[in-house]
This record gives sequence, C-alpha cells and structure tokens, in this order.
Amino acid sequence: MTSAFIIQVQPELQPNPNEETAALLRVLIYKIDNTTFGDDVPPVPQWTGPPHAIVRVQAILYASLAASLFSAFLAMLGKQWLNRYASIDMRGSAIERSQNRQRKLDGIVTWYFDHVIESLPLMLQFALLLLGCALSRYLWGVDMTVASVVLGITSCGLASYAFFIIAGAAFASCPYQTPGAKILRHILPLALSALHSASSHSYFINTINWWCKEIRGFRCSMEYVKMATTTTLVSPVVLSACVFVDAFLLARAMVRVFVVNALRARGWFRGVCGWDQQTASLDLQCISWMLQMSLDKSIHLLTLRLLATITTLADFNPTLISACFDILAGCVSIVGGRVAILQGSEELAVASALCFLRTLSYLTTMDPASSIFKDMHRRYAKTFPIETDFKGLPSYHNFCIIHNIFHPSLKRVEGWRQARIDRRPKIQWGDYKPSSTEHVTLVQLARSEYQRKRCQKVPRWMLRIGHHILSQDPLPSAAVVADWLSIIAMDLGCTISGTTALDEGCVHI
Amino acid sequence: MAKRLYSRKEEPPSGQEDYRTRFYERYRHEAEEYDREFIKRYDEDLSTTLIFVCFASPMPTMC
Repeated sequence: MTSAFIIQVQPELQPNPNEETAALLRVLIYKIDNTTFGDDVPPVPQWTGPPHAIVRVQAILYASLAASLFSAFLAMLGKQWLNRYASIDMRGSAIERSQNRQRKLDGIVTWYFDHVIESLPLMLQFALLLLGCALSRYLWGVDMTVASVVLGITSCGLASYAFFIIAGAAFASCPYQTPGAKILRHILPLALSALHSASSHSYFINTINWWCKEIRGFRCSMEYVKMATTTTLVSPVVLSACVFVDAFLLARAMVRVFVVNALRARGWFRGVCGWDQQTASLDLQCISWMLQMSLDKSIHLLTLRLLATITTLADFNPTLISACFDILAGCVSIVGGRVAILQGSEELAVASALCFLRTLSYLTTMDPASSIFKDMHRRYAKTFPIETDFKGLPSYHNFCIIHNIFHPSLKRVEGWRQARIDRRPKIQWGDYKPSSTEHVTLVQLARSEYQRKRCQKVPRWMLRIGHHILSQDPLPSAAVVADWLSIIAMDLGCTISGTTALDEGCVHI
Repeated sequence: MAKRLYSRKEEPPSGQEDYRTRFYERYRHEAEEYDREFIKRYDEDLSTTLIFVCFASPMPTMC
C-alpha cells in the first residue's frame, strides 16, 4: 500500500517532461499564428525543485515503508530465534539437556525476549499511522473533500487505538490488551508520583498558592487594593525567579533519574555477563520453574524433596520462596483460628514448610532488605492471622518458627506504661529434635533476626529454641553448640569477632 | 520425620542423586509441553506480523 502510494507521488519530485513539451508546443503555435494566445508569448516553465509539501509527504511515506520493512525483518529474525530455542542439543545426558533448556529460558527472561516480540506490531502500527498522515497531507493539497474523509477515518482509528490502550491499562480484565497498555501501566504510576512530588516541590505552584491564600484573606479588607498593586508589581519578577528555580530543580531531578537508570542498566548488564558462568544455581532455577509451572502435587512433592537435599542454597531466585509459600498455603485450610491440613497433602505440607523455612533463612541472611521479604510478610499475614494455632500438625515446630518470623511481637504504649503484647500462641518445644540441616537453618535465622533489629536483642522465642537445643541429652555437634552459645552471648551484649563465620567466632567478655 | 514419610512409598530413595534423576525426568515432560505452547504462541504472532507486512507493502505492483 505504502509503496503503491510512493510510486504515485514519486513523479512529482522530478520535473514533468509533459509539461515542458506542452509549453514548447504552445510557443510553436504562437510562432505560427500570433492570434491564438493573444499578444503575450507563452512562458516556458522553469523547474525550481519539487514543492515542499510533496517532499514532506514523501519523507513520511518513506519512513512508513522503512518501519514496516524493518518490522518484517525483525519478525523473520524472531522466527529464527524461536527455532533456535526449540532446537534441542542432541548431546549430553537428560539432566544436561534439561539444564541447557533452563539456561535458554532464563536468557529469554533476562533479555526481555517476550517484550521485544510483543512490541513488534507496535512498529507496524506506527507505520500505518505514518501512512495515514502522509495520505491525508497529500490529499489536502489535491482535494479537500477526499482529504477530510481520509483524515476523519485516520483520526477515528487513532482515537479508538487510544481508547484501547487506556482501557487496557486501566482494567486488567479488559480484553483489548495491547503492548502499549502494558507500557502505560508500568509508566503511569511512576509519572503520577513524579508529578505529585514535582507539584509539591515546585516554587511556581507554591508561590501561586500562597498568593491565592493571601488575596482571599485580604479581599474583605481595605488593604486588598494595596496588596493587589504590590502583587502586580512584584509578580513578574518573582514568578520568573520561581520558574527559574523550578527549571533548575527539574534538570537536577532528570539528571538524578538518568544516573539511577544508568546504574541499574550497569547492574543488569553485569548480571547478564555473569549469567552464563554460574551453573551451580541451575538446579535451583529448574526447581523454581517447576514449582511455579506445575500444578501436580506429586511433582511438587518430588521437587521439594530434591530442594530439601540441596545443601548449598547460594544465589537462588527469590521467587522460589514465594513458590514454596504458595504450595504451603495451598495445602492448609484455616477454620476458626486452627490450621488443618487438607486430606492427602500432609507430606506436601511438611516438605513445603521445611523448604520455605530454609529458603527464607537464606534470604534473610543474604538480603535482609529484599522486596520479596516484604511481599511475603504481607501475604503471610493475610493467610495466617496472628492468633493462628498450629497444634497437632505434622511439622508443628517449623510452622511455629515461620509464624514467629512473620509476626514479631509488637511494642505498644498503653496508657502510661509500655508493654509488649504477644498474642502469638506459645511454642511447645517438647521433644523437638532438629536435623543437621535444620540446625544450620535455625542458627542462620537467629543471626539474621538479630542483625535485622539493629542493636536490639535477639528475639525471645529464638533464645528459647537455643535453650531447648542446648538442653538436649546427646548434645548436637560442637559447631552447633558454639553457634548457639555465641548467639546467646550476642544477646547479652558481648562483642564477637569474626561474625561472618559464626562457628569459628570467639566471644570476648 | 523424613524417614517415616519415605518408608510409606514403595520405592525407597537412595538420596539426592535418585531424586535428581526422577526430578529431571518429570522436568523434561513439563518443559516439552510448556515449550510447545510458548513457541506456538509467539510463532503465530510473528506469522501474523509477516502476513500483514506482505499484504501492506508489495501492493504497488497491482497499481
């Protein structure tokens, strides 16, 4: 379509030979018979370059053509990429092949492959818009009526597209979803918050507000006239100064945003560069993907048991934690403040509670300020209210520990005294004997809980676990005992050297 | 606790390697299914784009 139109308009960029021939013929006839055209000699037209309007139309048309060809080119490449993703390397064992596939899938997520493919039609739509613009501009010079029809339909299409974008961005359930709506949904909250902060910090708006208040206050008094005169005298100077300050602030904010984004891009790029080297965490990536994608309980159980046997949980994707929590929440039901495990998912509940606790303890150690942790906090509090009773469950202690992490005891001021209100059910330790991996998890948790509450005490329930473990008859290994002793020492306010390796840390009193 | 749970199953697992092999077997099945759908979805998207371009661009020969 575009190129058809281009061919139509193209001759107007060059001198028209027919016009010249006609003019020369006219001159010839004039020479033969002077009476045909009156007295004046018919002029021979001089070519002075193509008209400006036509040049503009042609430029827009070529842009449209280039955009549509470029999107076709990208679509072709995209098909090739998809084929490459689908092809399976025939070498290696089943495990290696699966890990290879997971690596490719992670690459797709890291490099935003789906976003790129989904935004391809955007370019095509843009090309269509350019075509509409060029067509209406060209026809405007030819005939107004035809041009207005084309212009009307183009603007109708544009308006409906804008409607689709806005409706898709505003309502997630709207079926008219476009890539533009996705982008808008991401950008709009940022833009609104930026606008809000800008308007509250803007000297221009503040000054105008102040004047409005002043004038309203003085309106009824005699001083209003005086005020009005001074305002008109002062206003241009003050206003321009305000605009100046605002411009400076805006520029500073923009530079800051740019720097922040550049740093983020650098971090992303570093992550991408380091991605191919790390194969140790591929198992964890596979597990994480499996937990999120599958709905089969037997697969969940198998995956969680594999996760429980992995000893080093370094560098895992934080979404693993929420996947574990989803499974945990899926196999319990809360009736009247008591937790009951659904029929047939007892094993799953035990495995998911253990894995949730383990991954959580690693996350609190590695990244205590993680956004995932805050999100989990919100979701946990919604699913398990503070008074939830876990008595009689298969892995009662793990549930209780998780519950205590997400519901810390609150400090509240009641009247004149400050009291700690603890509505959590007390944990009955009984004959609790943690396994060796659970020992590591618990110590890590205690340490990170202590670090999270800077310069405060270790939570009491943590200390109670420590006391329980230290009071067992065959004591656990020496490293575990040393860890718990050092945590108790930290609570007592001693300085400990070498906090990175707790089991080797020595206490100075 | 873990030991008691395992004993209920017919096939006693011999540790991490056993879990790992079984896990990756299931993983391959799931991955194949997922990938088939994933590729089909994007492939159709790209085909639509290509068809549209083919329809929109080389019309000139007809005029």
